Parts: sequence; structure tokens; C-alpha cells
Amino acid sequence: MTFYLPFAHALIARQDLPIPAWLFAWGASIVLIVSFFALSVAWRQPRFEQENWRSLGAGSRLLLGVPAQVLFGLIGVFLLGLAIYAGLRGTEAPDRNFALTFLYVTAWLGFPFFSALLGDIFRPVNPWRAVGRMAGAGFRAIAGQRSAHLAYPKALGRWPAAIGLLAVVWLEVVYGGSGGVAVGLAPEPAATAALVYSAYTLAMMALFGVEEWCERGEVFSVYFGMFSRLGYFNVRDGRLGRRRPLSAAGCWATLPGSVAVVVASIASTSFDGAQDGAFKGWIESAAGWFADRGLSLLDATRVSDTIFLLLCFAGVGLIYQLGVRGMHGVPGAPSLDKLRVGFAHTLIPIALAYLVAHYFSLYVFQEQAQFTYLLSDPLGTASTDLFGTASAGIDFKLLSATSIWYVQVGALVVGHVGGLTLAHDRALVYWPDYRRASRSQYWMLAVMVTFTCFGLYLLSAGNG
Amino acid sequence: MTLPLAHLGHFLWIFYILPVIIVIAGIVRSTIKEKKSARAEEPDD
Repeated sequence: MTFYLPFAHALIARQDLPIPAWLFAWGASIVLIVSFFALSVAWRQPRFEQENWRSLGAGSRLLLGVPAQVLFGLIGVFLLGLAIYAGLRGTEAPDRNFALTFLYVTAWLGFPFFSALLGDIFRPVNPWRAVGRMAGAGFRAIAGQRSAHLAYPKALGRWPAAIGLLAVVWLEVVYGGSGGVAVGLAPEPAATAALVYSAYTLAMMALFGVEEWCERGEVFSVYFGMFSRLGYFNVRDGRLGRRRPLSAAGCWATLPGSVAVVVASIASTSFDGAQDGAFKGWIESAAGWFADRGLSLLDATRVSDTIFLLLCFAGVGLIYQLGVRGMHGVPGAPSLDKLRVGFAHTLIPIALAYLVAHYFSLYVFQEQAQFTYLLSDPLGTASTDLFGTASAGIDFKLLSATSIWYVQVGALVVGHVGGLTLAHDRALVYWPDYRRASRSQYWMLAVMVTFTCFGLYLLSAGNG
Repeated sequence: MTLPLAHLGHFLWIFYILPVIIVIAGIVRSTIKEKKSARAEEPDD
């Protein structure tokens, strides 16, 4: 018997709301408008251009020393290896196999959530970086010199990561999901994809260098690193320190393709939310059209899903581009390119808000499985009980549908107010006259209200 | 006679798009107003 996890929307249940769901969109919009005017009146100097970094002192040496780095790297390699092994050798049931929950819930959702609070926690445990560094150290020991690398093409920037991000999501929600057709992402293809990605990543690291590729092309480093720019801690000159939260985001988008990464993040979450909700009818109609032209139902659904995923990417990019064009009309505005890059970081809190809103409940429920029966019986074959928790289950009463809704609304509001604040702060850099800076942000306010209402609509349609 | 409310759910998106329309209308209105006042302030040649 095969079980399929409800990855697309976490759990769907009726909420007990005192007012219609759409009124929350009105309330959230009012909060944004009030925040906009409060920022215009009270925030007249840029405050996020300086990180105010302070070292945490000698204690950080323990965390950053070579033994700790080796240990963290080994943990990362072990967990990736375990996930691949479980995927290849374990049960086909996704909810009983360690691989899917670990790759697509614990890591894929956990790192953004915790990186946004703590900083770049993926970097020390990145298994590919650990292997790449070990290989580099081995080469130096044998050859007595550093390995030579190709120069990374500047124009490529973070585009490989943006495309890779869409590919990772495609594998989960299109190849594995396909709009209700019972294919579900089985553990084996997920493990095979992880193996293929590992080979590709290590080859790119060998070509361009470990740190260069992690900064630009390695999907997970770039994606989790983007959220870590919101976090409190970071490493500078080999020392761990604390900084003003959100302040490091401002210099994140300087590489080409960075806008595409953050747009891809919002678009992929939007598509995942809309696939079985707001867009379901359209996707089915398009799939029917392709099926009428000779494609199998599965292929037709996948083609249709892929088109809608790309449309989401184009749509989110277009909304942002309209905001940038609106700002460009304000006297004294810099070039369109400068505005596009200069305000891209304001979308990071929105991408995080979308992630929390769409996957918070899934994360809470699946992590109960992760830290009980999946750890005790990683292969899901009922043959091991390593920690005595193999027979444990998920407590679905831990969160009510109503409390999930309030978390979703709260996350969207806080994320968009955060984006609005970052945008206002950056506007004060480009327009030193605060009146003009505020005027330029009218259009970013429209962008934020659009993303808030769209996000709430997707959630309510998905729950409906 | 009963009202055809069975498919009302299909049009709920209108309630979600209204705040966006209101904000954009406000921006367009204030932009036009500012441009008009800027033109009025320009000295006549």
C-alpha cells in the first residue's frame, strides 16, 4: 500500500473564523497602508545600510575552528548519504521513508526558517562544500599547490541557482505532484536526483572553485543564504558576530540573477499553493487540451503544471517590474537596472512570509515524524527501532485549522511590513529628500498589497 | 424565485483584488494631481 504526503498544502481543514477570510486581506492591506504612512513620517534616515556588526568574542573560535568545521561537514555528508540510501533502499511509501521528509521538509523548509533568524547555518553543514573542501585539501597535500580553477563568467551570476531552484520545486510539485494524478514523488527518484545534483555540484566546484560556486551557482547555498541575510548572526574575517537583523539583505542582490532567485522563490511557493486551489480549474483545462492532442494524462498534467509554474515566475517578476517602473517615474530616480537590483532584497521577507504561510503547518506536523519514527526506522521497512520511537505518530491536534490561519495571516503581514520597511530605507538612499523617497514608495506599497492579497487568496482558495 | 448564489464562491477573488485596485487608483490619482500642480507652478514664458 502506498501513502502520499499532502506536500502541496499541508493539511486542509475548515477554520472557525469570526469574519470572512477575504476581510483579512482588507485588514492586512490597511496595516500595510498605515505602516507606509508611519514610515513616511517617522523614518527619515536610512538605518539598514550599516550592519553594526559586533564580534561575539573568543567563544566563537570553538564553533569556527577546524575540528568543528570537519564535524559539521561530516554531519552534513552523513545525513545526505542517509537520505540517498533510504531513498534507494527504503520503502516506496513517502511518509515512511526518511528521504522525502528530510530532503523536502526538514532541510528545504527548515533551513530558510532558521537561517532567517540565526544567519547562514547551512554553510557549515553543506555536504557538497565539505566534500569539495576536503578534496581541495587532499589535492594541496598531494600536489603541493592549490588547484587551478576557471574564471566564473560574471554575466552568469546567480542564474544557475535560480534555474536550479525552479528545477528542485518542479521535481517536487510537478514531477511528483501533477495535480492530483497519483504519482507522488517516490523516494527513489528523489534520491536519484540528489545523486545527480551531487555529481553536478562537485563537478562545478572542481571547475570554478568551492566558495565561488557556493556563492553563485549552488542552489541550496544561494537559496538558504538569501534568507540568512535577514538573520542575526554572521561570520566575518573568521569571527562569529551579531549584526542588526535585516541589515545584511541590502547588499545581497548585487550579482546578476539574484532578482530571479527571489522571484523564483515567491513564484514556486505561489504555484505550490495554487496548484490544487486557485489554479486547479485552469490547470485541468490546459491538461485536457494537451491530452486531446495526444499526450498521456500524466504528461499533459505535467506540461500544464510546468507552464503554470513558469507563468507564476513571469507574473511575480512582472509585478515587481511594475513597482520598479513606478519608482522610476519619480524625479531624481536612478536607472531602471539600479532600481531593479537595489530593491530586490525587499522581496526576501516576502519570500519568507510565503514559505511560512504555506508550509508552517506541514513543517510542524512532519517534523514530529522526522524526529520520531523516521529517525528510528529511516528505511521505513519496520526492521529497525534505533531510538525506540518507531511506533510513534503525528499529533494532528497540535495545531487547529484556525490557529494555522492566524499564523499564515500574521506571517504575511509581518513579512510584507518588513519588505516595505526595507524598501523605504533603500529609497532614502536613492532619494535623500524624504518626501521624494516616500513618493517613490507608493508603487512598492502597491506591490506589497498585491502580494499580500494574492497570498491570502491562494491560502483561502487552497483551504476552501 | 431563488438567487443564483451557488457559484458565488467562484467570484470571491474580486474581494481580494479590491484593496489592490483601491491602492493603485489612489496612486494614479495622486500622481495626476501632483503633475497638474507641478505644471501650474511652472512660470509662464
